Amino acid sequence: MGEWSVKVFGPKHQIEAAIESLSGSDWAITQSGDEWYMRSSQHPVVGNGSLVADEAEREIDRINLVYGLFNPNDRAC
Amino acid sequence: MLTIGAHSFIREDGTQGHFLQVTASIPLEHGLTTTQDVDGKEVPLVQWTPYAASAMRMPYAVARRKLSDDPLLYAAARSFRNRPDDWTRIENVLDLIEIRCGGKIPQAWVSGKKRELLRRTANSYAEAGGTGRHARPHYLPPTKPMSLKEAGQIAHHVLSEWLKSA
Repeated sequence: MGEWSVKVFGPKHQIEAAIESLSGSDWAITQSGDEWYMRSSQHPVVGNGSLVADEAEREIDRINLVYGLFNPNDRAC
Repeated sequence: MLTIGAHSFIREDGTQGHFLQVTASIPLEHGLTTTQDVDGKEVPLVQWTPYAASAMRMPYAVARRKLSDDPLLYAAARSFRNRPDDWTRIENVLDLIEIRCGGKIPQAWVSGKKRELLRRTANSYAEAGGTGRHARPHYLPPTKPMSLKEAGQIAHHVLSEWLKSA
């Protein structure tokens, strides 16, 4: 079990929504300098970064879907 | 969900032993409901979990978790979001939420009358055309069908309310 980081991009208000979205999940969004990373320290995937990236992509897709539904005039990038 | 991880080791006498680690993670979202006698009357008692209490203040977290826990809803919502002007996708979202709500969408989200009109319009060859659901060919077409725009707004509203509800 390792810690994985996936760099994420987006306007600050959408990043803030993503931080709230991931509350209570295996992922968290943290800032490093000017960059934002989606980090996982609890993710059960071991040894294969592409599987983690796929899972991160699905999470981001869910976050964007929710953001888009709750903010129809400000679709997530 | 149960996650079980096993690790083995060798004892000094050469025999093999195992550590067994069991981690239980149970998503508690709705609180526990039971009944209690109050002055001789049986009343419902809802014991909200800590998660449910915080969830009401965090709609994004509740919604993401619901989509994460419900792949069918995720697929239907995603499909609707990509093509909100498709009668089949509109009807699929509402059908699924109806099932999740125990057979009836709360009146506060959409009236029973409008829900029925939307269903009949979505299933009508004459009104829904190429994107219609047409799952029930014997459905009588409504005399005053619902507009596609209104149907999309209803589906969006109901989906948002369902995702926000703890």
